[in-house]
Amino acid sequence: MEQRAQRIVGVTDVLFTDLERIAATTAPALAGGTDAEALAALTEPQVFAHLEAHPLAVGAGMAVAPEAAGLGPLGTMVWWRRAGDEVRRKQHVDNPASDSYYDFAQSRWFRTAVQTRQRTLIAPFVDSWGTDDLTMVAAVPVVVDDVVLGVVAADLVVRTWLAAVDDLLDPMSRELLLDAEDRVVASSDPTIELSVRLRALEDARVERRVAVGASGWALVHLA
Amino acid sequence: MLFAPLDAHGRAETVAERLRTAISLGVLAEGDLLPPEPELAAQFNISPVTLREALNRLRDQGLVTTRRGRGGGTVVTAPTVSQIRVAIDQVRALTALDLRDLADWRRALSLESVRLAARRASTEDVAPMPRSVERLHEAGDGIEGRRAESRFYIELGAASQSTRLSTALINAQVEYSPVLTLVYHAVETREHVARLLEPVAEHLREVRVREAEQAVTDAIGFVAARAGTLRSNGWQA
Repeated sequence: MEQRAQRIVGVTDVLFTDLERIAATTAPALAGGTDAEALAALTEPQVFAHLEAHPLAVGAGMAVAPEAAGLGPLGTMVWWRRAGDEVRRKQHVDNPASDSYYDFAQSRWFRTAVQTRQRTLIAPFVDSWGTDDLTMVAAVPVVVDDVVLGVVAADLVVRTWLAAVDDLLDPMSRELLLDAEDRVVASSDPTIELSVRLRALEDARVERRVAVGASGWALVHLA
Repeated sequence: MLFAPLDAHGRAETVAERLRTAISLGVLAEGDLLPPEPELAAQFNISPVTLREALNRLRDQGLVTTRRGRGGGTVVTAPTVSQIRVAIDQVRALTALDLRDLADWRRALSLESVRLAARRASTEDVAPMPRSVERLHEAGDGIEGRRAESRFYIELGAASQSTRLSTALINAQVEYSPVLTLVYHAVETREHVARLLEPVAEHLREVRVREAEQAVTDAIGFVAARAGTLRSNGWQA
């Protein structure tokens, strides 16, 4: 079970390493202060290379924390998405008065990466103001002189990630992958619906629990 | 969803009309930057030439302006004052049956969202809902009220973890938005609905499905009843 937990972490390991490399190379520019266009010019080639190298990622970019790097009270976000064969810049609505305002500073991937300063993996969620689809996010902080200036992150293709993880679960037992809130992210028992909270399942008794990665996830066996 | 692809015909005027409605209702707010033209054209599934024609119509009506060069793009410039008038134009054709049908659909989508959200929602999904209710309570007019209420229901849809349900709920909110703008013109309505929706987030967190369902049913029913009354008064508040 520990071995499978390790393999599940391994599904995103290389991708995280690459995000950390992008964070490290962009950190000096952020520390010196920048503007949105300079940030986009700096990040773009690295995001293109990232999306080229990682079919698991469908989009990637960087968000700069509010009041960091001279970018004002709302911070800023530069993002790109794969669309067919090409990669396009994605503009999120940064007008707080708008219905479709994307308040990245309030999003879980941004806040968790800032707070924990760890590799952050967010379980599938419906991203109404971002991708409009079921999304997973892998995020890493950009830290300079012990201050988090921003977050480098990637949107993952949920179906691809899930297919990889499904193959790793033990088909001979009721094995579940849970997120930090004990919601089912993957299950070897096809009768258990995805995303459901463990406490909402009536007959679920956890026999064994093994930590998975740094985001508080766990692999469990049900009785 | 606003930029969902079109089937085939209608093109420039259909796109212009869709954007005009979104702007008029404040779904796209003043100062919003539209996506870059190639991206927007791709989302609507129309050619860049057709999109430019649609944007020209909006520009002629003073609803958008286009800045050239770096950091440029098409920006929404619609004056807020026209929104109530546009809403009234949009709802005038609605019969009592149309109103009932819109409310039925919204209730169906919302109640299924409540049911699923109680089982599946993360704390993060539920966390923004009280803020939207507070915005509804503090809204200064029907436009702000509608916007806050829409955010609440869109957050509820997302909390269900179902993309189809979430998408359907967003579309239902956009379709219902002229009605909501007029209904939420009255401060008592905004406050009453905010009070009804206020406990929903806590009900979801504590898996109190029936209580959450009841609160949402009451809120949707109250708005529907107000809409019916307004209609019979010729939409005069």
